[in-house]
Amino acid sequence: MLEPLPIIEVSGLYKSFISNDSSVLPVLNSLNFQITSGSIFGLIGPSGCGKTTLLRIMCGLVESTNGEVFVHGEKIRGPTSHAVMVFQDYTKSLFPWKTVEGNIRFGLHGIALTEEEASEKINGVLRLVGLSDFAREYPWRLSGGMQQRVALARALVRKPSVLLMDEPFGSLDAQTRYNLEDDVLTLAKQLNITIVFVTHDIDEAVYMSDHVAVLSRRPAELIDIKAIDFAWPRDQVLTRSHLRFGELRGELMKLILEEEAHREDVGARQTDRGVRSPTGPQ
Amino acid sequence: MKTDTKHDRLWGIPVVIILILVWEWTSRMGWVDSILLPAPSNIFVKLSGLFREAQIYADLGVTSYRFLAGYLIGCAIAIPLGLVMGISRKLYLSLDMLLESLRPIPASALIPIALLCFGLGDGMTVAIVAYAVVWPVLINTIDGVRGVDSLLVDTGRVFGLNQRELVREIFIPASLPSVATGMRISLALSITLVIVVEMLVGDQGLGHRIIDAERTFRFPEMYGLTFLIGVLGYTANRAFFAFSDTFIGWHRLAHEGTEWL
Repeated sequence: MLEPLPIIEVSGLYKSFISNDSSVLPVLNSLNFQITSGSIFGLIGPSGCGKTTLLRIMCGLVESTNGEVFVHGEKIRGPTSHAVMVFQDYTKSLFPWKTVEGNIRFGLHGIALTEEEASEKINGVLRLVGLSDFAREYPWRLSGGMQQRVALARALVRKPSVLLMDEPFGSLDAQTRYNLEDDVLTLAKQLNITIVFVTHDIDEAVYMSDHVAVLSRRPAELIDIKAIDFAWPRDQVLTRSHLRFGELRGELMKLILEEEAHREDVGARQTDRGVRSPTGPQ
Repeated sequence: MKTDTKHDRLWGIPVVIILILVWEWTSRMGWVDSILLPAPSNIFVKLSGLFREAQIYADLGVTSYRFLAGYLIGCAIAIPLGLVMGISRKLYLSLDMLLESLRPIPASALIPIALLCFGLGDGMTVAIVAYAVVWPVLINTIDGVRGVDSLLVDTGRVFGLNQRELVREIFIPASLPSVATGMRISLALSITLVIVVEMLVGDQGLGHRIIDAERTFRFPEMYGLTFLIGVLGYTANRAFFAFSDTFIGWHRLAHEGTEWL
């Protein structure tokens, strides 16, 4: 059997920001990995480590300082039609002056379609996310879970080959989150979409991914990529209660906790140093 | 949830009627000087008398024209200017000092200069009104654009919008509620200024007519004209709401406020 081709290639990626006191703040450090087409790739790591920055570079919103990202073999220089991002804060990423339908129609921007084709696509995706009855509502009249579905539908209507999601279910209640996780998995597998998503929830990372990448504390380096070898489709109860699920979860959690602990050490040492010799060499 | 309906608005009517009756009563009983504060019936008779003459229509027309022209010109300057100043840092920095040094000058202080530049008549009144209208609209437009959530802009970028499309599809609609706030403040200002200018240097218009009535002791007429200006302002305000709702109805609905108890 042939190994599927990588759709995303991250190569020697380095990113630093200039902080307020004009010192250089490295955020991502020499990241190298590939993501195979149609797979689901979870990103976890200590908070503030640069996961969001990595996603923003992958969708072309932020420029890398060094190194590159290729999608479909094409170097990312700005937003690309291949990759669409679903933001963490869906309430602020939906247009309040547009209806649900109008918001989803926005996802078709720049795609030449007749009115008939466009409505067909919009209605199709509305059915997929179960919001057909709410097409004419304004997003702010809907619940959080429904709003996130609208944001998802807006991305899906474009039939992107890559979907980037930044903590997509972070602010939803558990029940809604489980439902949406399964919906996204079904759609991704059905439409053969490659997903890269950031999460704080290790269980979610294991449940949803084909591979989980663990990033170190800032500047983020790749610590490990774990293959999650559960078969598809997965099941919220059966998969999560599998012995192997617990093992994977334990391994990933250990990596994260070690990183977090390390960071606290560094933080403590820096504070000590700051107090004892504020003018000393850093 | 209790919301306003046309029917509910009728609750305001008895309050107004009672107040007018009290006023009528105090004036008739001679508790107040009926020359300085004539009875409402007297004012109303005088006002309806005015409407049988051609002059009032001319004055109403002149005042409405001046305030509308000044208002629209002011908005037509301030909205595009505010938009580009909100979007372009360079333009903002280059114009900010100039505008901030003009802004503290009240429109009324410019009446002599306007008189000098435009002479007596419509031109100077329109110019003064337009000047006054510019500031609230300009500042609210800039604030509106600066306040557009960066996530909306990022969303636009992700979906491949170029700069021009970002302005048209995101910056303009997202800042409209703030623009409308500025326009609403300016609407009241523009009526105020048109009346002030007409009172001070007018040859015609409602403001001139009121001050003329006062100087020649035609007090019922003075009160009647004042009431008429109130009607003009009220009408303008209602028209503005009807107009703005077609653009930012979503915003008003989204911020309906808390439930009535």
